[in-house]
Amino acid sequence: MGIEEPLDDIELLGTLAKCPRAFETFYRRHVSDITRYLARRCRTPEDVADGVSATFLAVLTSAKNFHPERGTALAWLYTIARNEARGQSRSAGRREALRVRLQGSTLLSQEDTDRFAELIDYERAAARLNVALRTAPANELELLDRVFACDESATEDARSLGISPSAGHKRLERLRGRVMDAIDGPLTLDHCNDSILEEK
Amino acid sequence: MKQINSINVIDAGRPFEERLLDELLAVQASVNGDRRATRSHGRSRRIILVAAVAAVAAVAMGVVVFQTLPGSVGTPTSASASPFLRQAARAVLAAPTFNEQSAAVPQANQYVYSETEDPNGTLTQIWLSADGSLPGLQRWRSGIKGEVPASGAIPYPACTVAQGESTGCFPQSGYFPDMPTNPNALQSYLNQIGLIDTAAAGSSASSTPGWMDDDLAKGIMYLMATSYLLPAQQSALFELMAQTPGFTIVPNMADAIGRVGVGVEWNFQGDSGAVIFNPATYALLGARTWPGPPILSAPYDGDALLGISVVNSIPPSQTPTGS
Repeated sequence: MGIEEPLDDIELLGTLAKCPRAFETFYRRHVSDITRYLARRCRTPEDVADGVSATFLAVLTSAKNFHPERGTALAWLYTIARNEARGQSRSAGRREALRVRLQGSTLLSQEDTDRFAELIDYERAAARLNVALRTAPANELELLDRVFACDESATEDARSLGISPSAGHKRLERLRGRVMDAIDGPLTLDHCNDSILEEK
Repeated sequence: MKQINSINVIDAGRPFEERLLDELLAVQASVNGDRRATRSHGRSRRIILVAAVAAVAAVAMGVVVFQTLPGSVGTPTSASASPFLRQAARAVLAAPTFNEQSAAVPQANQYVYSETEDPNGTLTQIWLSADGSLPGLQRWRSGIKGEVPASGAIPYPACTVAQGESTGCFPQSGYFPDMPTNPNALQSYLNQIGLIDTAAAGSSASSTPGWMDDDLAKGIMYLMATSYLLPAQQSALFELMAQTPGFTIVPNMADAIGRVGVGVEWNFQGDSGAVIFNPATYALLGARTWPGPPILSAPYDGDALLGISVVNSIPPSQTPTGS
């Protein structure tokens, strides 16, 4: 027997209404990213949990409205999540009735709550960091790029850019100051690295 | 042959994601069962029930209903909506559309109350704390017999604009005194406080054609349907839509309760939507969204705005606890 290829999102959405396994596969594939997206836009772990449950509830009840010729499944899914984050899915129809029966926040354990609270903090810091990096001068970012890409010391990278080591260190210091101001507090090195690499 | 392949992204120990999946699968089974059970309902009986419930609800709630405009539903055109929106932006400065009894702006301890009705006759009531510092409330009564539950309520957690900016919560305010009246500044402000998300929070989804139109239209529709807006703020919202490419005009479009107005339409991923305005006063009548092209006779989701006013309290029995 050869290697079997997993179904893509469009194929899953097409069978999702009739096939619990299809829904499960779609859910597992996207639940982490949707949770992160909502963590970026929600205030509390309970809000995140309610948003995730409402988003996938909408997937269940609206999959029939997805048409692959009109766009990607990912954009369709994020549109739902965005609407849920905005609290705009307010039409009091069947989905609203189901939503009352299924509130994600009631499923949170203390461990989940702590985990989502950390995620919210992380995503919030990442968003601020993103803004700081977007508005930083190009010469500071160029040097930072070298530091990450070349795995060399800042002194060597400064020389390779044709500037003195002390000028290079000053650029990195200025950038560090911008980042620290932006996130309004201490940020661990791991988060900083992850966020920079991700956003760049 | 392809197969459905579960991807293990969840740690062991039954975390939230696993428990939620169990619940969603149970709902899926329940929904399929409900569909089979409701197949025998006759269409004519449903229409009668919808009409009866809607009529009773309108009388019982004492709703403020805008004047129904004459005219028939016409054929959509592809003309830009910008001229209409710019005219609206000018007109509302002289004649504000907010339908309230007092000219005084809402105070911090007051609520902005709104009522909408969907095509099935479902009535939705929303109370938003003027400054977002108090919990709000959504309450609805389904127009279709058999929905479970037929009525219900959901509390909205308190979230002020300042909290929205600092923590990312969705502002549950009914009044935004600091909302800019310059369209460009307004767009930045709405993004900043999370009422719109034109950049899709940095995800690739924002590059999808039509994302901006869809996001902006829904955000503005939400504001107009649930908020007390100063004339200059209303004007800036119209101007922001006018300067955003992609909106087209539909001269005659009926809202969920049959009032005919001017539709401002957009498309996104093959789906479509329209915000409907009174052509004489430019007040919001309602909105439609279609799962597909905007065929006026096709089924759609949407609401008609019945009324909006400033009130002093949430009904005592419905006051939510906590936030």
